[in-house]
Amino acid sequence: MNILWQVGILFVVCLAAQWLVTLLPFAFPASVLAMILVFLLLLAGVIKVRQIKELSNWFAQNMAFLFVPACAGVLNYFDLIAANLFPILFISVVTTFLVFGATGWTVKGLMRLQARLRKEKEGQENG
Amino acid sequence: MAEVLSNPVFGIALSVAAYAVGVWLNKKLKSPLANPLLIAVVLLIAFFLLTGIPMGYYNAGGDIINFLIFPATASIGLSIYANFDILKKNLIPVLGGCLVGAVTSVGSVWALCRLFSLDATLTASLLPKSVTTAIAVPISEQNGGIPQITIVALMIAGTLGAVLAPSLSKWFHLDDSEVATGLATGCASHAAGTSTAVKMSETVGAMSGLAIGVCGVFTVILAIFFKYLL
Repeated sequence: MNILWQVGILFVVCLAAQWLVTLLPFAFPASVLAMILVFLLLLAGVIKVRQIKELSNWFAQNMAFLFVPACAGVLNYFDLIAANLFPILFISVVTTFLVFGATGWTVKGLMRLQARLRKEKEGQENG
Repeated sequence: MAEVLSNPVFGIALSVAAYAVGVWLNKKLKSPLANPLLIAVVLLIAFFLLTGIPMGYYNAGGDIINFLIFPATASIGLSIYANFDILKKNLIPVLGGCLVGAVTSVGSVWALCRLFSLDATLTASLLPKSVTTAIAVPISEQNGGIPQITIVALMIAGTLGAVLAPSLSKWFHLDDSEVATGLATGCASHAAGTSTAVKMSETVGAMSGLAIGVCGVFTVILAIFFKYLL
């Protein structure tokens, strides 16, 4: 589909999200609400994949580029980061390992549980 | 000269040039440590320090690029939808694993911030550090954090996962399960980790990609309660 139409569709969803967050009783980022809306609208069939495909792929491939200006502002916080360098490094590294382990073990545990339940069910059906 | 520099085209052209060098170096060095975004930022900062051009000129173009993060984040909805079939097939492990991953991340970051007695600004900046940039930055801003510090932390998390995912999978004895390895990589190291996950196997890559979105949504929901943690 024409890129201009794709821009139009995606921006209308963004606009709707921007309006909807003002109605929520708690703080919620409009961009993330827009992401959830896009997913739900695709699921409901209101938007078709082909109507936003090329634009979304372009964004996905260039996502990191879009953060270049935001990151360049890091210079303004150089002193703050330098003063807290150890805690920032320590926390970033340690919690990454923790999340990796916790997620992985939960998934393994849940899959084992599912396999056991499935076997028991089959056992009952066969017996 | 000021008229030329204050045009948004200056900031945009400079950003594209710096990022292009980053992408080129990344391809050349073939290492996750040569992160294109990191290289681009270093080049930009060096450029302004060396030329003495005030960085204020950069913002006219920078703001236009910044604005695009909003629709770009919205478009992630499509990749969640594209992965919906694998999500349905592995519903319980995906939802359970990502929920535990998101809670572990927020909980452990919060506890360590208390341990180091970091202030509310730094804590708010670090809390969303496990999720993808597009989701972490608005959460950080919403709670009074500094997006740049959030990005530093999530780049550390991402680079660690991108470099260590195969080793971590072995150390945590997850190498017998592709689903567990993929979800753990995506939850801990978002898009950067996923770039390594897709090289490990198709299933590991798909699971890692799926975890970015699911973990992101769980973290956004948890973020509603961040104000009670700060």
